[in-house]
Amino acid sequence: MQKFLDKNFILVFFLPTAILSAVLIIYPMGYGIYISFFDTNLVNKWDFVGLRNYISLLSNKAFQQSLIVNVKYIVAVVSGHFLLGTILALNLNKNIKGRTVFRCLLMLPWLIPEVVFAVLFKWILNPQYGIFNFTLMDLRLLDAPASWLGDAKLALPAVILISIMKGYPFVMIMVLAALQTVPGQLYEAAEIDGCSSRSAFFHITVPSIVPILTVALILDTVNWFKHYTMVNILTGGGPANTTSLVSVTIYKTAFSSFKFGLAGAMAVIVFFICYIFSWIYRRLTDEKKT
Amino acid sequence: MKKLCKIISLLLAIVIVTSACGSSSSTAGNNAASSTENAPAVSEDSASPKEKTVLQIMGPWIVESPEDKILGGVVESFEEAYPQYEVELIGVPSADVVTSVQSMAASKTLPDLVIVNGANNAAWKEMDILEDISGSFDQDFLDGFYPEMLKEFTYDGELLGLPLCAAPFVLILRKDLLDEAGLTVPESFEEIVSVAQALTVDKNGDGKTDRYGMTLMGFPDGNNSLRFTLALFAAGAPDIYTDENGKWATKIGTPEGVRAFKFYYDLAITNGSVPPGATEVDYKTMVNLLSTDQAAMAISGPHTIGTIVSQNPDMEGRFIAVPLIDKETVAYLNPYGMIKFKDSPNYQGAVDFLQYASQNFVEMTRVTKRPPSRIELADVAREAAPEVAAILDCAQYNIAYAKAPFRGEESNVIAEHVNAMLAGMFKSPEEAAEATAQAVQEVLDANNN
Repeated sequence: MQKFLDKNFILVFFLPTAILSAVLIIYPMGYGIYISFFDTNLVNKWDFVGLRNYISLLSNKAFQQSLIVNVKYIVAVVSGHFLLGTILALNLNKNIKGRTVFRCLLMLPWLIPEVVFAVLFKWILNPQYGIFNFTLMDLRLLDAPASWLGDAKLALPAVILISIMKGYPFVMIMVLAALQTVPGQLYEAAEIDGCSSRSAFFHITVPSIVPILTVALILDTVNWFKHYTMVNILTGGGPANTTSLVSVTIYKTAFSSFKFGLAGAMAVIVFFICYIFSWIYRRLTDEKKT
Repeated sequence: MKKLCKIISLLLAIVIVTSACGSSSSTAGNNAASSTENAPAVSEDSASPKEKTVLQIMGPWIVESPEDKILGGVVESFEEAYPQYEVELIGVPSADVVTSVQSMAASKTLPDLVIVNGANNAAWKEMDILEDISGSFDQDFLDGFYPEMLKEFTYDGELLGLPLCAAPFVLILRKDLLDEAGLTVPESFEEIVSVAQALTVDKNGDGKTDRYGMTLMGFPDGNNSLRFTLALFAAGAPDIYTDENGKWATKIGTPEGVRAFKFYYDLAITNGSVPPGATEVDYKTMVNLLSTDQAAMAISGPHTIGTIVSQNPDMEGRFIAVPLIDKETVAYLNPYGMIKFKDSPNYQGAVDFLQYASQNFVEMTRVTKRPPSRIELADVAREAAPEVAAILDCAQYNIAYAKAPFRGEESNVIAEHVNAMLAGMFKSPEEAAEATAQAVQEVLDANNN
């Protein structure tokens, strides 16, 4: 027994998690791919349709529209996460007074459940009794109540800003951890050689933390590409489908229209898009290294 | 030391795996919350005389107040009257009932009964998860229901459940404000628009509107769709009906359909008689607007009046409920009750509870103003709430809300287009009607093949 443990310890340690991943991730994923080849309600209707679901997506306006919205959403949200997260991480890496308190406070949005966060902002931005409109009108910055989540032009930017506020701590923590692995001697040497802080950031800090930034970028993109909870609560995909992310479209296709095969096909497309994103990121960062 | 670390690591891995697997639950999806400890249902055949048969009932009333207390009272008295049963309540928010039923049907873990209206009967019957239970009740008992309500729980001649009360859609309005302004109850879309405009006021003279004449539910969900569908019926343009060839058809694109869109358009966009942000207004927001005197009218029901009064007791007696009148006089009773699933573990228990509950649900009428489903309870209901009396009189105007397996998809289409119109995405109500009719026709064509 002892010899078996010594020889195969890594396998024994890895196996429970592998089994869990297989049951909870790989099996549902495989099942989703399987049902995408059927016209099915998962109960008593299993008509094999081959690639028909995928072909129909080429002319499915709702899906295409939601992909376009998703791309806009993801570019804005991930950029916002990285911009805000990096700025905050750089400041938190300095030896400032109350650094620990700031770190805790800035982590809070990430700790609050998405449902709670969305409901909070739904109330804050309510046109009739939301505190945001009340404050802006009190400061005479607004003449009449604005419908931040109900106006077709304002809804997507509002949802993007709320998503940035929710998700920046993840990037902040990753960047902060990466910054703390950069040896201080490099900065000292650069200072001696007359390097400015801006140059030091771009020539020392960034190259040192690129591997972690890549991981954070992949995780953040994939995580927010398939986001559903907050958008569904804030706008339900409206107004006029301007915030209808692909996850909302998939949900409605599956649970309102009972077209699980078509929803499965959409989900498979989303999987490949996320995979392509991560491949592109890795290629770009590998090219930079060479 | 190295050996000790290995053993600890192995134990940690096992603990993580076993805690992640967790205890299995018979509740639905991620949103279900049990009010009692979950236990697998015990079939009558396997229960010993000393063991109680566990009936599982799922639905939104378990997580809504004050419905949870009312249902809890009925369950308690049922368990006293039928000591061989123990009822397990599974709470699921109303927005998640369909998803939960779908998930449970796919995993074959459906409960005995679900609290729901009749909107999904057609789709669930197609999934073969419902069965005819009419043979389990005496005809005299069935004749005791309002026929319009019992019909909602019938599909293709089969009785699939029993109604317990109605959650009707009519026009609710502030009678006190009408009287104050010297106005009469409106009897056409034009009159409603005119009354709404008159009731849109700046109460304190600060140049800002404090109360709007009407609130419209524009959030893209089923509630939005149901209310607008009532307006379509009032205009004489049913959203779905079967034509002389037995095919699904729509009248949304007709001049009558355009009237319904114009009705909403004039209220929200032309006259500004609706609070800003109509596309954000869901049921809870609508109730808040009405209970805080920020809106005077809405398409909803007496149950909404009950919720308004419970939030703001000063509103007691100020609202009335009347049919929605335009070219047609309409109401939609929207009865709520319980559907029995085909493979329910406890057939007789479910039937016993259905019969008992339908005869003992009068407290729901007293507290929430929902009209009862039993004719024998009409007098009690009229005494309990005048609003209920008005609705019972509206039963004759109940719309023929088509039962179609693709209702969910069609309902989404209507909700999204109404939402888009209220967001100003269409230049005119005619454009909105045309776009909606086209989209609905696509759904009908796909299901007519």
